[in-house]
Amino acid sequence: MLLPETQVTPNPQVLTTVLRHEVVLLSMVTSNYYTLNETGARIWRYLQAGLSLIEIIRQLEEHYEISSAQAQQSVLKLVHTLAAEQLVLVKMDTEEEVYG
Amino acid sequence: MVFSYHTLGPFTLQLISTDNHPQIEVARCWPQLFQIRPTLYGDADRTFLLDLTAEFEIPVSSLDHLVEEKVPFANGAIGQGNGCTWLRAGESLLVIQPAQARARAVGRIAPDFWDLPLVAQRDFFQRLFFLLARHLGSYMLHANALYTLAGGAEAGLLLVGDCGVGKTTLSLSLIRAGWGYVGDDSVLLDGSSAGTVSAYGVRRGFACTQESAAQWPDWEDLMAAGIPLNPHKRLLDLDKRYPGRAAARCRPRVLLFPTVTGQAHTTLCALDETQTFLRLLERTGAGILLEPETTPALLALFTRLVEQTHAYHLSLGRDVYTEPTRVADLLESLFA
Repeated sequence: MLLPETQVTPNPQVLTTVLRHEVVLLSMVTSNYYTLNETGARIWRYLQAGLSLIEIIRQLEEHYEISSAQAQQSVLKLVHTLAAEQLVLVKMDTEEEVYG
Repeated sequence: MVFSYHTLGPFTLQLISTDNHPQIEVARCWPQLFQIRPTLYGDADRTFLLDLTAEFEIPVSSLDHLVEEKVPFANGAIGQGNGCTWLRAGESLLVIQPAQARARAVGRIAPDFWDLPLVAQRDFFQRLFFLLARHLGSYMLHANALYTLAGGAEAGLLLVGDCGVGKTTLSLSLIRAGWGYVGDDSVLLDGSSAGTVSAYGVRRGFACTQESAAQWPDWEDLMAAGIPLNPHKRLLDLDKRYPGRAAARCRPRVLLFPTVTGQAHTTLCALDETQTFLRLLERTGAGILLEPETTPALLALFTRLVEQTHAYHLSLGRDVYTEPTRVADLLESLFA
C-alpha cells in the first residue's frame, strides 16, 4: 500500500519532455507516452529532484494553499497511477524495488 | 576502392565501393529520386558513410535467428540484433554502426536490388537516410515543406501526416497559387544552426495522383512528362514549370496536421504545445525507440520545433480545388 513514507523515484527508463505548462513522459519500457497537467508536472519535477512524498505533500500544501489531506490525496493518487504505468519505482518495506 | 561524395540537406554522403558497378548504380539512382547532388568533398562532422565493400558469406535469409524484425515494410525490414540495426531488402543488407564517430552503414546492395520498382528503391534508401540521420541528431519527418513570402520574409510551412491525409494535394494547390516548395512527403529536421530547426527536402519531385491532375487540366503535359510511380501516381518535376521556386530548406513557422473532409470549406483549429508535441510523437510510431540512445535528442528537436511554430489541425475542404485562392489566403493569414 502506498503511504506518504513510501520511497518513490522516477523510473530511469522514462524520458521527460517539459513543455510550457505540461510534461510529457515517454516510457522506454512500454513505448507509451503520458501527459501530466500543471500539478502533475510539478509533482514529477519534485520526484526528479529527489524529494520524498512527505516533502512533496508539504510543497503542494504551500503552493496551492490546500489542506494537508487534500495534498496527500493528490500526490498519492498520481503516484499510484505512475506506479501502475511503471513510470516510477516504488521501494517497499522489504527493500525490494518493484514496479507498481 | 572507389569513393564519391554527395550532399543531402545539411549532410554529406560518402559512398565507398570495391568497384564501379554499385557506385554507378547508386549514383544513377540517388539524384533521380532524392535531392542529392554530387560534390567534391564534405563536412567530416556531418557525413553519412555508406560502405559497400563488406562481404557477407551467409545469405541474408539465414540471419533470421540473429535479427529481430522491428519495422517491416513492403520490400524489406529494419531489424536489430548483435547490438546493431540492420536494413534489408531481398539479399541487400546494410548494417548501421552507431559506435562510429560518423553515421556509418556497411553492407552490400545485391544486383537484383536494381530490378525492384523505383518506389521500392526509394523506400529502402530513404529508410537508410532516416537511420543514419538520427545518429547526427537529425530526424526525418513524414511531412511536406513549403514556404511563403506573404509576411515579408521567407517563412516555412510543414504539412505533417501519413499518406492520404491531403498533404500533397494541398501542397500542389498552394504551389499553383504562388508558394515556394522544399520537399514532398519527407523532410529532414535539423537543429544544428543557431537554435533554429530547419526542414530540408529529401525526395525529388512531387507525387501527383491522377485524381488531382484531373482538376488541373493545364498540368496535362506536366503529368505526361512525370515518372510513373504506380498506376495512380506520377512524380512531377516542378522546377521547369515553376523555376526559382524550389528551396533546399525552410525555417518552419507553422505546422499543419491535415485531414481530408467532404466539407465545402477548409477550416483550421489551433493546437496547443502539448497537443502539437503529441501529434509529432504519434507520427514516429515505433521508430521513436528504435535506437533508444538517439531518442532524447529527437525529443529535444521536437520540443524546439514546437516552440518555434504555431500549429493547427486543418480540415481540408473541397475548396482546395474549387477556390484554391481562398485556401491560400487562409494559410497566408497564419504568417501575418
